[in-house]
Amino acid sequence: MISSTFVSGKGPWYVFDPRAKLILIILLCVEVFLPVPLWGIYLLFALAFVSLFQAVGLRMSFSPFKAIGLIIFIMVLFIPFTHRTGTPIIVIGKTVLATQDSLLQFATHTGRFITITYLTTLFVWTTRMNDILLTFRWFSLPYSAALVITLTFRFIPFIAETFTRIQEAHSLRQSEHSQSKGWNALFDILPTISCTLIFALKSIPHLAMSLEHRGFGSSVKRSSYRSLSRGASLFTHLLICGMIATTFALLIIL
Amino acid sequence: MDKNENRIALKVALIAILTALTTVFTIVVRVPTPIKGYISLCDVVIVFSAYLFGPWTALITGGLGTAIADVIGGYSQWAPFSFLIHGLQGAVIGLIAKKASKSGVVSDASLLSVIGAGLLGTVIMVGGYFFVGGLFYGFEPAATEIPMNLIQAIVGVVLGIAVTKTVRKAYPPVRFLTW
Amino acid sequence: MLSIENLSFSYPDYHGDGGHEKNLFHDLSVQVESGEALLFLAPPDAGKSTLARIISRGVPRYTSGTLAGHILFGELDILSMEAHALTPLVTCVFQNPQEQLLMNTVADEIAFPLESLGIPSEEIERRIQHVLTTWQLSHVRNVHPHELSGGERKRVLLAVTDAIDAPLWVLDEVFDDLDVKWKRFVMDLLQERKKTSIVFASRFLPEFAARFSRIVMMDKGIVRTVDEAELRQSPRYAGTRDNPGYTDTAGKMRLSVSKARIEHPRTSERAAEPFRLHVDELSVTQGEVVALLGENGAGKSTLARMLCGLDDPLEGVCAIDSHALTAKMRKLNIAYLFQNPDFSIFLPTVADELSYSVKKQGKRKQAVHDQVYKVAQEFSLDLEANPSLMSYGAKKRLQAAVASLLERSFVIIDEIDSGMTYEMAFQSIEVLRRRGAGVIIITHDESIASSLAHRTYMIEAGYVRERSVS
Repeated sequence: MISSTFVSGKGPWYVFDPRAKLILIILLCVEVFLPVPLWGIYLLFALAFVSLFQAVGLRMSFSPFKAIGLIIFIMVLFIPFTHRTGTPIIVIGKTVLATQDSLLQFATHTGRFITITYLTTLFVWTTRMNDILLTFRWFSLPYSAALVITLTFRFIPFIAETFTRIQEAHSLRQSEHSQSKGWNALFDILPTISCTLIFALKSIPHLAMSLEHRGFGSSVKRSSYRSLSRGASLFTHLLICGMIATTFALLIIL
Repeated sequence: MDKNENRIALKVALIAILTALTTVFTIVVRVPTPIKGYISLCDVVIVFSAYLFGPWTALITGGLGTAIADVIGGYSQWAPFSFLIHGLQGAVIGLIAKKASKSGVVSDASLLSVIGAGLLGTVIMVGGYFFVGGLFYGFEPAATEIPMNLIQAIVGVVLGIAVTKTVRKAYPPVRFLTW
Repeated sequence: MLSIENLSFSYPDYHGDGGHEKNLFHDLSVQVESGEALLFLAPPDAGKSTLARIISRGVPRYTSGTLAGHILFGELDILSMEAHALTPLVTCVFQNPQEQLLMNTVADEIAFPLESLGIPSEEIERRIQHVLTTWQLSHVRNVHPHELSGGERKRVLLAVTDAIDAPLWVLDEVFDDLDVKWKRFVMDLLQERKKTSIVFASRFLPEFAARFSRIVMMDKGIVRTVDEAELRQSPRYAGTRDNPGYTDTAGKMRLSVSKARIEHPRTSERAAEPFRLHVDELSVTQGEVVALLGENGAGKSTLARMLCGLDDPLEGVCAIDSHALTAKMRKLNIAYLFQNPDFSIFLPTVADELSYSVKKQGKRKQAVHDQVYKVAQEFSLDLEANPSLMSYGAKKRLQAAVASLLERSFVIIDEIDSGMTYEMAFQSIEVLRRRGAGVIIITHDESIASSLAHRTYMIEAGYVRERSVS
């Protein structure tokens, strides 16, 4: 279920050093918010889309739209109310539905939004959880913080399933006339929530014990089973990342 | 129980479990609303964490939990902002709770401080998303999200406080988990 | 080699003013010789798991309580050491794997304690490969623990134990989720490697008795060595009681399933096919006890979920007498007690929990009170107690009490033998039967099925069939 954010696929994005990849994604995300001409934004979007398509295939590469479709629809609805000035483009009867300015603004906002959506998705889908954490560690995130994130992903599916079971157990002890209505219906969820919370809280001491039982907290210096590749390849990848970001920045300025 | 010992394992365990709870309540636990669609119950866990475990814990678990939920749910562009907004929301509620009562728990705090904390938390959450949404796709479309966020935040505060009281009563050892 | 001397442990009782402490065990002494495999028998809730956690220094550190006495491991005084310092010396496999699995893949799980010990990564990789092969887990190397079956989870924890290769192994109810092949494998391994080990168990497994060098039994806080012959007589550890009497069927309701096909969507991403179960004919009459017997993963819970209305069958009929039942009607007529009682504890006190459902039936206050009081006595429950802090057995009784108050005509009890002694299970079933319920017990234990139930259905290879009376 929800235990991972990684999507398997192939291509250069999977081989790219995650440290360089993270820097590149952040730089590009910042660049779309600079005063960029419209074609620049869409060029970057095209780049992100093609990358994602190449990495995970056609069907998956459209799926980020599902998450942002509704808000784009709302943005379309608001076009007529944004800019009243500028050359009218779409007119029905006497009502101006869209002017040049409002369409330009819509295109800019949409372009930025879908571009950052695709860029961040690209990073999350093509980088394994372990590599993301090692990347953060490389940017000096303490070990215990990385461990917290690992444990969180360990427990998310467990707690989600627990909640479902508790909900089922609760539904099994209803009697015939126990359907509440209105505001009370909201409070009907209380026993289920508190049961889940208590269940989770009870696992905290056990988790702490297990961590120490496995040697966490000892003064011995931890070794690391997994590591990011070092040396030449990181340097090359950082160089490539710098080149892409600069090329794009130059394109906009010229 | 030794209170003074170095209990790093407990801190890690507590934060990890509360973060996972926040994520699950953001993604999985959704309540249908009469108007339309669903609201998430992440704010319930944030309020709960703030009252039981204080501002620092709520800052990390509220922020991290919702950020991870964004990443899993395909809204990764929101993750850094959810981290700031929900983290701040939890921290502020926790801070007021801590100041208003010596023990930092709901039952000892005055009604006024509970309402105040809830309101301030709600303003941070609703305002935060409006501001970031405005930057992302214009303030007019962002404004349409205010009503749902408002309902979600208020439901979160009301249920969060109710659930905090129940859990403290039903599971007294919870007080040993604080740090 | 391991010497437990005059160990006493008491834990706080939150009930009432919260000032008391309850004694779990008192003045307990056990010796385990080097290279010896000791079987430590004790009824559920007697403190086995707590003892395992005391040996690994988890208790009373993260739960409160008062501890007195000594635990010596060779020359080392364990109780003066820190938990993480014990990692290379003692490895425990706790009863519930969910409490012990920490990482997101099996390989990382094995690597984690080795990293703590500062072992270089090449050596870690070598050990991972080795134990994955030994425990036949290579195909799940990169799988999240949530995707594993119960038996696989236990094997992962045993593989971690194997990779650390500490001199002392403490295995708490380790046989629970393992099938016969792996039970035998664990025993072989303990013998071959001459591991010093304590195996905690609440039920006696006659087929393995000879493999242990010694068997001790804890009863009411006293530990003594026992021999096999004595255990074979003891009703507590071997179910030898006669079947509960049952004859009368006149005027009773009969629950039946016929020609049913049930599909359970696999929660695991590893399974390509959904799980299918076929039931040709199955029936229970009120007052009767029927067992569903099958290995782990055979589909016992899938059948139970359909019966109690959580899932619908793809085809076939579930009926009471001649009235076919919808899912909603099944929910109102058939209770299902989950294996884990923590899933059904919602409210602060036993009284709240018991009166919740009765109140919802719209009864008057005094009537609710009387009914709750009566049922609490029948199931020997303390009305003021905190359900979340009660012993496992008491929680199971609370579950049964709630089902009985709901006046369901049929009750399904999942994994009845987990955390309950034979006697406790027998008592709960008797109270439910007296109140007129038909009881379906789910178990993977042959002897439980044959000693508690009137009839037994076997679940094997996707089919449910009644076992003919021998």
